[in-house]
Amino acid sequence: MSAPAQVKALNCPSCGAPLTIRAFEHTLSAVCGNCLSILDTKDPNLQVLQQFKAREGVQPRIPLGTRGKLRGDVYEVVGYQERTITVDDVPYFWSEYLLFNPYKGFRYLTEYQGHWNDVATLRNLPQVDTRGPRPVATLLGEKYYHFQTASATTTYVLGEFPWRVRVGDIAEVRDFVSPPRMLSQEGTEGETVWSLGEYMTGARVWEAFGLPGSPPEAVGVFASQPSPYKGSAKGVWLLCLFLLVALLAVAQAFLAFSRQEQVFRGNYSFSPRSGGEASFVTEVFELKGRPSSVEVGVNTDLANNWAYFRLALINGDTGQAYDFGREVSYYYGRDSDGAWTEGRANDRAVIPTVPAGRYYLRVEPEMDAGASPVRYELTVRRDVPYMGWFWMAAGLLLVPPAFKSLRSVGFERRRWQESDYAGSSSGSGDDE
Amino acid sequence: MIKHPFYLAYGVLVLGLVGLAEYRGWSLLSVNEVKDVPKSVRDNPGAYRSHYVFFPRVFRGK
Repeated sequence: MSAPAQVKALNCPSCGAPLTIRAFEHTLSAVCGNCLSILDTKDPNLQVLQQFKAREGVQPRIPLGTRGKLRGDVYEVVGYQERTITVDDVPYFWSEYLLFNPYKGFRYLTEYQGHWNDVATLRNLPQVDTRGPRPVATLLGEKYYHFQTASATTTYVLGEFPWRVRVGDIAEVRDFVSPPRMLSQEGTEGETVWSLGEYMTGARVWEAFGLPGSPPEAVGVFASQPSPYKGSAKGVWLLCLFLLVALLAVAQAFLAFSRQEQVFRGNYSFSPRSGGEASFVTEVFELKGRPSSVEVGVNTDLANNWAYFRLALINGDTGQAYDFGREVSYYYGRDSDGAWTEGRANDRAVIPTVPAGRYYLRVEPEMDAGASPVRYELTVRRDVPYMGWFWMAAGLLLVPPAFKSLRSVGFERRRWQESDYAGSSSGSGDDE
Repeated sequence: MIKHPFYLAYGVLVLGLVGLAEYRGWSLLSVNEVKDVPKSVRDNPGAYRSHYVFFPRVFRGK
């Protein structure tokens, strides 16, 4: 399958420069690289079909005559053309390399800003459904979503072609994408050609053709570029679900097996109008077992009022104290929006890692000087699960998949920004 | 799971830390630990000066 193409040497009738025809019997036109004359190779006198001027220094990244292996077959670069579309008065051009294998025929390599596609013309026609807001082409059961329609003008040619190529040729091009593949429909007067391309990285092209150096850096996101996040975001979300279920199981286990033992309960009242010393200490209670959390609860009968409790859990034997404060406020009423409430009449605090021992609470309530008296209950429970950790863990578990999904959405957005549908959702059926 | 080893390791680490935090009884409450509180506090609670500094806000409702 690696047989070289049939080669014939000719001379340009315009400037006399030598010409090499590599796909001789298939070639209908060839370009003299010296004087840029397009010649009719089927004419015995190599009639000049067109002579064109081009900007200086056009150098195909893959030189004509280079051979490389694509899909297991050796192809030779026999032609090169540049085509341009103009959008909002801005010209965008891409390169097309015509590849030839005497047994397999022609195929193309296209390159746009470092993005490559391996393209072959199709023999079977896709079905195009134009009923929806975005046309969809179906080929072999796979749906391709319309990406862009544009008029492409051939602006530079080099080498040989199996058609009578002209600079200035215009074709209506419709692209449909299903990454990493892209269906393209090219229409000229009386002829429509469909082709199917598959995205390739520059590194793969360089490797296939044994090119020196490194390929040009890819710029932006190409229409058919496969998303590096496709599928992986779904997998991360599945793993996230599994981890959340595991977290729930851990939470259930701690709820089931933590002792949540009430070791103290006392009812008190406080009247700020009475004056005198507000602080007092409770009776002693005992915390047993390993160091664990201790929950101090304050349940009040506050109504449209607030109270502040300076609290200290003090170990009567060691003199170690845990000082903290809790503010309780509860307001309610009714206005033009209806009934409202703010705050709660109870509160709780979880003191971390309290060792076993004999403890008491030192309590110092505080309220506005003229406020109504408040009755309140203090409770102390040990080994109480702190649900805040589980909520925090759930948030931490959600960060990586959310980040991945955001990046996936961003990638698709950048892809479709280059399409005729920029600004609308992709609707590409992407599963992210 | 094998496709996302780093996330799996991260998830296991998070679960492990949650388990450890629960087992050790950690919480996010801001407390000041004070050592050597005299036993006389029981007899004279007003003499104890709380080391917890907090200025209560007054909520006035909606």
